[in-house]
Amino acid sequence: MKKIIAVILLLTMVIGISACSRDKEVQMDLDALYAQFLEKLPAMIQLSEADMLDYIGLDATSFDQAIVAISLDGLLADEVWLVRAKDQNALSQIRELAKMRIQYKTEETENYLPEQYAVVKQGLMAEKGLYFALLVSPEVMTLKTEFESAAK
Amino acid sequence: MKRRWIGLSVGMLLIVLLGGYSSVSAEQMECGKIYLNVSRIDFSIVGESENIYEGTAPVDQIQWKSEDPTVVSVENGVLMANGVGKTIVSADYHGQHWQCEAGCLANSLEDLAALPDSIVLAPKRIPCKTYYDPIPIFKNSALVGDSITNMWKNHERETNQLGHPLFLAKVGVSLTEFNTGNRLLSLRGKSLSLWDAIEESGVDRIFMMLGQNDVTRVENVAVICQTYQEVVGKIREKNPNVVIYLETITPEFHHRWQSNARNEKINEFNRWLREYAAEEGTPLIDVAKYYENHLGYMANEYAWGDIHINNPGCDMWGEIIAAYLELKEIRSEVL
Repeated sequence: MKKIIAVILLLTMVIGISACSRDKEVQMDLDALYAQFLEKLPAMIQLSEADMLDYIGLDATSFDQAIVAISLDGLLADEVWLVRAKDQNALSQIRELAKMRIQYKTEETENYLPEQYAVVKQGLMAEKGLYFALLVSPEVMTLKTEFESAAK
Repeated sequence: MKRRWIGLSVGMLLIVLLGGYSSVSAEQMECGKIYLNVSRIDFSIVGESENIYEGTAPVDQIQWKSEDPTVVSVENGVLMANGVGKTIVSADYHGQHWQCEAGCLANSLEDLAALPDSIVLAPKRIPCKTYYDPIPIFKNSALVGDSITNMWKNHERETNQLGHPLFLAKVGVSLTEFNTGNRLLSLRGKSLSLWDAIEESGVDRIFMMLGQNDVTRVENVAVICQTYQEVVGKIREKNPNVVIYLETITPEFHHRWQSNARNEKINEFNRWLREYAAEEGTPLIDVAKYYENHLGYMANEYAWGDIHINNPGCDMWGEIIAAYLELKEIRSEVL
């Protein structure tokens, strides 16, 4: 009898903990956040899934949702990634891809576009749960604050 | 019975249509085709001349005609500017008729200098109109280049005129940096050299415009030419089955009172590139000549800043490549 009670208690705890963790899971409306970002960004163009894979290595199997946008003016460094990773492994991969991208943009601007180089150097990555952001913009701090406060 | 008649009629119609089509094609193949490399040319001053004929029909058997030879005369495809004005030059051969607008702006350099910007900074040549559908042309192709090509990439993302070919382009990159491995391309999550990226992409052909940043950074044009050969050699070695289309590099935009020193280097490089491509038998698309204005600089209407190309300029780039490939097909040189 004691054993049965112990098992029931254990199950109750497990269910309770998992319910709590679901409650605490970060949720974000990426579309709404991106729309908010657009007020601070120059004219942007969103990459298709094929372009995400070709140019930044971001595979559709690694995310639930991804918005990757670059400046329409090819001489401006502005770039934004808003991604909800599938899981922690995917999140780690996305983080590595973002580092590679920063390096790539650094090389592009370093000896060629000094003002844009400064923007790239200020670029940063932010995370909330499985949500990931790469932010390259003169307004990077504002974008970061908005990303963090978009988490529910 | 009725069905048999319908079947017979359809069959006859197909025979007539296909037979008619093939007889025209065979005749044109046998006699050759006319091809003019411009739909409009404006000479800057009297005395200039240019060969606009690149077809397969024997040039001396084509009936050439200028509506006003006192402005521009024509002989065996070579136009000669004789006076200020505009006219039409036509070419007729075995039922084929081609024509182009031809004009001349001024009698002398002094007269040219007195003309307004809207005339002097306009493009000197407009390529011939192509009816090629660009999407099959650019299928399984990569456009290789620097920031100029990169700007085309963004324009293509907006318009999808070319069916989204791959762009292997990096802002600010030079031949020297590709050659030394100092700059890599990013493709599908990998950092790769230019030649490895081409291999990784699996494309059949590349269109390559590189050298603009070397002109800025390298003093001696001969050094740029040497580097160019090395880069092409490495691409070929790694990708023996990929067809490489070289492209001349576009001139720089200047206001008329500014120095032309950089454009002189670009011209020197392009002259070498034309010779190199001819010697090597490598296809060369002479993109630059369609961007030139009457000062030899980038035409005003295609310029984005000093060295970059705006959206209409990108559109024309696609048309130049399509027209070139159409010419190749006419010459039965499909690669």
